[in-house]
Amino acid sequence: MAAICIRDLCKSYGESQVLRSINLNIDDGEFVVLVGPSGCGKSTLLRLIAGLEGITSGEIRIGDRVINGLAPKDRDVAMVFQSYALYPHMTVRENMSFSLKLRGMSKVRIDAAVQAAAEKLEIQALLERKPRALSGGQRQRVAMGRAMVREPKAFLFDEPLSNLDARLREQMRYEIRKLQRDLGTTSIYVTHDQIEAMTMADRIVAMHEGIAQQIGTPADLYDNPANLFVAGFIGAPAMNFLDATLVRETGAAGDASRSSVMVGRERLGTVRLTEAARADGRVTVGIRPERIAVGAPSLGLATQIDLLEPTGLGTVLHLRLAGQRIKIFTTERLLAGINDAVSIAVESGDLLMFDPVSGVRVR
Amino acid sequence: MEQHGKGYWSLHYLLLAAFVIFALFPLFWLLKVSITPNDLLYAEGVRLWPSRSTADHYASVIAHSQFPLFFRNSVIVATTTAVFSTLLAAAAGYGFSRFQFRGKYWIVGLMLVSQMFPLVMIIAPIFRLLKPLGLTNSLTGLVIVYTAFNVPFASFLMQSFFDAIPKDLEEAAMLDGANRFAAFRRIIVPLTLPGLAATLGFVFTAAWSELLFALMLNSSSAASTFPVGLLAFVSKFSVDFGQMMAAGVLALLPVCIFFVFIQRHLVQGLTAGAVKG
Repeated sequence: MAAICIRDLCKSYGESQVLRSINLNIDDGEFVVLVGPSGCGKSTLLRLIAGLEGITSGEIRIGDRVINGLAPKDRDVAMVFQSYALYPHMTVRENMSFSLKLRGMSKVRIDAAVQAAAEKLEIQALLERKPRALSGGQRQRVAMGRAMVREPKAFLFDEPLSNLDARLREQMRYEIRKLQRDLGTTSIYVTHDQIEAMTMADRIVAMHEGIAQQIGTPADLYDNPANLFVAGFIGAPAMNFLDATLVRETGAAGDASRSSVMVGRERLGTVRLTEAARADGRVTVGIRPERIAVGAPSLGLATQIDLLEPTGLGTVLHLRLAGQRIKIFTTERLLAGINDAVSIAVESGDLLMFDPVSGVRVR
Repeated sequence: MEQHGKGYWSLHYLLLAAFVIFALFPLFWLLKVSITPNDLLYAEGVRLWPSRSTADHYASVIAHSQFPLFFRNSVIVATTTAVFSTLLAAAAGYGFSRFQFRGKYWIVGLMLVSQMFPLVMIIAPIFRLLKPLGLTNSLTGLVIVYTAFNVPFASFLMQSFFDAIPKDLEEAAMLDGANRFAAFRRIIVPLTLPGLAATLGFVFTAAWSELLFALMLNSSSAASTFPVGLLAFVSKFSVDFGQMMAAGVLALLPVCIFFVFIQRHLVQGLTAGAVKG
C-alpha cells in the first residue's frame, strides 16, 4: 500500500495532446475515481500509472519511488481490465497464481494465498474451471482475485463493470467498494459512469479533453461544480442550464449589492457576485432539477408541463421557461398532467452562475 | 437456430457431396492409375477401376528408383523450411501486430511487393547468387530460398493470428510480473498454437510441392526433391504413368499424416478472429 503522487503529467501522441499537466495526490488507502466522457484521457492516465504507455513529461511516484521509467512488472500495481483479460488457457486457480509463480513463491504459499482470496470472493467452487465456463460476474470476481492475491501497492480498475448488466453492476459496485475498504489498498478506478463515480469514490477526478477539470469529494462536485462541464456531467437527470442576464437591483426595495437573474422577462432570483461577471451581464444559470419546486399556478413563475417521465422513485417534468427547456425532478406525487398549467420556484441559493463563454463558475 | 425441412438438408449434403467428389476425383485417379498394370493402362479405355490390380509400380518405385532418396530430401527440406519460416514469421508477425516502429509501413510494403513477381523472373539472379556460395546442388540452398519466399506471406498470416489476441492479455501478464518475452511465451504462444499449426502446414505444403527452384538450382540427383524426381518418370519416348502415380501417392502420405495431426488446430486457426468471442 502506498500513496500515489502525480506531478505535471503530460502525454502526447505526436501532435495531439492527450493529457495536459495533470496534478493529483492520492493518499494511502484512498479510492479515487477518474470520470469523464470517452476520449477524455482517463484511461490513458491509468495506463501511464500502470506503465503500459510511456509518459511525455512529468513525474509519477508510488510511495517514495519515482516510477517514470520502470517496467510495468516492477511497479507493483495490479490492474483489473474492462475485458477482465483472464488467460483463456489457464484455470481460475492458474490465473490467480500466475503472478505469484513468476515471483518464485513456494507452492504452499501460493495455494494458501489463492485459497484465501477465493474464500473472500466466494469463488472456491470455480477454481478448476476455465474462464470460458464462467459468467460475466464470475469472471469479474476472478479478475479481482487475480489482483488481490499479489497484495499490490495499488489497484487500477479500467471500467471493470461496463460489460455487466445493470443489476449485476450495482452489486459488483458494492462488492468492489467493500473489498477495497477491507483491504485498505490505494485504488484508482476509471469509469464513464457518473453514478459509479459518485457512489464509489472517496474523491472524484472529473476529466475532459485531457484536463482534470475538478478534483474533490462526490458532494463537492455535485454541490460546487467548478465549471459547466462538471456541472453537466455529474448528476442525473442532468443540471438545467439557462441563458440569463444579470440586472443590478436598483430602487428603494432593492439591495444594491445584488443582481436579479433574468431569464427572458422572468426573474428567477437574486445573486450576490464578488467578482464581476461579464460586462454585458450575460450568464449561464445552472439549477439542479430536484432544487426546483413545482406547485399550483399562483405560487411562482407560471409555465405548463410539456412531458412527464415517471421513474418510480419520482417524476421528471419537462417544462419551458421563456422559451428554454427545463427539467424538474420531484418525488412528490403529482396530480397535474401534460399541458396543465403549473408554477415553479427556485431558492436564490440554488442558482449557480457560469460564464457562458469560458464555462467557468462565476461566484 | 432456424428450422429447416428435410429437403433443405438433402440439398445441402448433395451439394457438399458434389463438391467433395469434384475435389477428390483427381486423387482417386492417381490411386487408380498407380495400381493399374501397364498392359491394362491403355487397353481398357476409361474405367473407374481396373479389372486387375497390382502393387508392382510401388515395389519398383521403392526398390528400383531413386525415389526414396528424393523423398528423404523432400522431408528434410520441407520440414526445415516449415520450422524456420514459422519461427521467423511468428517473430515478424508479432512485431507487426504489437509494435509501431519507424519504417514499418515500408517494410510491410516491400514484403508485399516481394510476393508480386513471377518466380521465373528471379531464378537467374538467385542462381547467380547461390552458385559462388556453393549453395546450388544443395538442400541448404533450397531451404534458404524457400524460407525467404515463404516468410512474407507466413508473417502476414501470423500477424492476423496475433491481431486476434487481445492486447489486454499480455498487458495483464506484464502487470502480473512478466517481461514482454515471458508474456509472449507463457500467454501469447499457447493461444496462438492454432495459428502456428496453420502456418506450419501452409509452409510445409508449399515447400513440399515446389518444383521450379528445385529443378533449376539442382542438377545432381543427390540433392533433388520428389517433384523433380517425378519428372524423371517422363523420358524422351515414353511416360511411365504407373510408377509416376505410385510415387505421387507415396508423396501424398507425409502431407496427409501432417494434416491429420494439425487439422484440429487448423480449422480452429483459419476461422479464429473471423467471429468475435
